[in-house]
Amino acid sequence: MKVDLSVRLGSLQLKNPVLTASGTFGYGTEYGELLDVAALGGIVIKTITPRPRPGNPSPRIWETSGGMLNTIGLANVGVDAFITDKLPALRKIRTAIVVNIAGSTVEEYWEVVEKLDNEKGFDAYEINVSCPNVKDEGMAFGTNPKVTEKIVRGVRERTQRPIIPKLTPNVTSLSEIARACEAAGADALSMINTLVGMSIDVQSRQPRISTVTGGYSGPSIKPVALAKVFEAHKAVSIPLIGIGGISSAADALEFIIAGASAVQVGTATFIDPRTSLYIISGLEEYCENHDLSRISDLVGSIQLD
Amino acid sequence: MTQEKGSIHRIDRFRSSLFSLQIELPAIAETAVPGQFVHMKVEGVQHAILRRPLSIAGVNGNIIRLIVRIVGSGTERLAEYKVGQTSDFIGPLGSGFDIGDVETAYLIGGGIGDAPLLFLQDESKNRGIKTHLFVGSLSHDEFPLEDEEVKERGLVNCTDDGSFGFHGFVTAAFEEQMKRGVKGNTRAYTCGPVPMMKEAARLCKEYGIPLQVSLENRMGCGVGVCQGCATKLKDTGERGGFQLVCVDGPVFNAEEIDWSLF
Ligand SMILES: Cc1cc2nc3c(=O)[nH]c(=O)nc-3n(C[C@H](O)[C@H](O)[C@H](O)COP(=O)(O)OP(=O)(O)OC[C@H]3O[C@@H](n4cnc5c(N)ncnc54)[C@H](O)[C@@H]3O)c2cc1C
Ligand SMILES: Cc1cc2nc3c(=O)[nH]c(=O)nc-3n(C[C@H](O)[C@H](O)[C@H](O)COP(=O)(O)O)c2cc1C
Ligand code: FES
Repeated sequence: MKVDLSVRLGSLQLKNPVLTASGTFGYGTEYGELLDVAALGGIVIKTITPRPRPGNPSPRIWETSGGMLNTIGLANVGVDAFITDKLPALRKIRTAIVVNIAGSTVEEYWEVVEKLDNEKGFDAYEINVSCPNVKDEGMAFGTNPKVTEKIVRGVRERTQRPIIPKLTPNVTSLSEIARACEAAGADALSMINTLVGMSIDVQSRQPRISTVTGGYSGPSIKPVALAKVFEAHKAVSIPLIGIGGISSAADALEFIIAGASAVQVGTATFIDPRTSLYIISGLEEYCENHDLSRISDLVGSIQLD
Repeated sequence: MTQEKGSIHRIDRFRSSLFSLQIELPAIAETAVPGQFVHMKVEGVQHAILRRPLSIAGVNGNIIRLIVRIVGSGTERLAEYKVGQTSDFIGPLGSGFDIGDVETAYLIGGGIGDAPLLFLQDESKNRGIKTHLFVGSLSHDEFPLEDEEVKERGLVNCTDDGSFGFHGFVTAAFEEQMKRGVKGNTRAYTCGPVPMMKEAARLCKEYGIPLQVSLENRMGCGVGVCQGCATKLKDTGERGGFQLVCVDGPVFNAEEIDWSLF
């Protein structure tokens, strides 16, 4: 039996439901010597901001029990250099390319879209609303439904491409934010971005990473991410992309069954760059063993009594 | 850069917390140059997930040599590896030393920082370069090389407590050498604790010897993707002076570094 692994996220068609997560696959080409990137369902590019960002001081990462903390600080080349130096190589990769965007103000998100949208070589936007809003005491945009809706609506007005807000789990009601994005015209939702975490060196009593707290990711956050996907699946009707601790086909299947149409692999790529490829073949095998001709039939198929 | 499974060919424990590993890694061995490292998955470490960066300390045919100091759960687990056991490696990674066409090379290593310098010494000798290798540690029991190899290599071994070889810092031994005179076209290389590299940089400047420095930082991906290993070398330039130890380094020219930032 030939299994159909393709999925649709609004108008975005993917050949299979496994993408690499923003910030864990660079600008798409770095891992090219180690795996066939065209076999991926898609690649989400590192967050791009209107201007280059050098990022946060070192130390930027710390390994935790079953996960890691990072405080990269959205270090990136900026949208202009992205267009001239990075996009040309992406045009040659035969898979969906999703550009993740962010800004320090609402208008900066729109600025990135305005600069990028006439360019060829990518298929969709992921909107990273987990970064600090300089006009709101550094609170993440994505914690405020009104601000999130404003960002998404503004992006919607500036592009025909599919738009996928990426939600932060560090909120009281994820459902509320998810509904705000749906109302503003989002095609799909990605979730989750990193949790807030910290670690202290008890000898020196100093924090392990330079900004004290940082983004917590990796296998140990999976249960939290899964619960968020399940929550959002009940709250909205647009497709979801599950992210958080996914490192095997079984992990990916949990997310799909909970309601995700696709998944992204982040930290697990650092552990083994080929993780996403193993997941793709594992999904195919699962479908064969369970007489499923299409992976999409599995989406949200959780059995509750 | 390749990813390959390597089988442990030999493992030798020495002193209280050191061991050397010989691993069969044909693809990595074929292209490795001194200064590069491998990113190794250490299996069976509870709750640890990330790979461990380790310098290539030598290449012999298909075999890569590593010298490791036990400092935490990953290296502790690695020390228990058995001959024939396999593990996953990505490498060779990073920039190598620029060996160039010189008459004499001075290699200054502190502690486990000697690892890349051993490979560099081998390669320099192959190219007919005269090498002076200085390696320092706290005491004999911490010395990062077995006694026989110390003799074979003809290196200057230094210990802070005087229990093995020169009594004093490795940079003091290097300075004595400098005072005897520096002739012709030379280069220097250093790897080890920051205060030692700082002092080596000061001396090299004083004696007009170009110096290359091998740096360390925590790593996520090891291949330039995560930006986790970014280290500020100077407070200038587009990236705010940040360089990635994994791909821009680990080897940098000493002039690129502002030591007051370390
Ligand atoms: C380019 C490079 C080359 C290296 N070469 C060697 C070598 O040849 N021999 C050797 O013994 N050691 C070397 N190190 C240091 C070695 O990577 C660490 O000692 C090792 O990762 C410690 O792992 P652990 O689980 O035992 O320690 P833990 O402290 O339990 O590790 C916790 C986390 O911190 C990281 N970490 C801890 N110490 C260091 C360090 N000094 N540098 C970078 N990351 C660290 C670990 O990788 C891990 O992610 C090198 C480091 C770098 C960056
Ligand atoms: C080193 C690192 C850098 C990241 N950078 C970004 C980023 O630039 N933009 C973004 O939206 N998410 C970023 N993330 C978050 C991931 O895309 C992902 O949402 C998160 O890590 C959870 O998935 P995981 O557990 O599979 O890693 C980053 C994560 C890590 C570990
Ligand atoms: S370790 Fe990821 S960029 Fe250097």
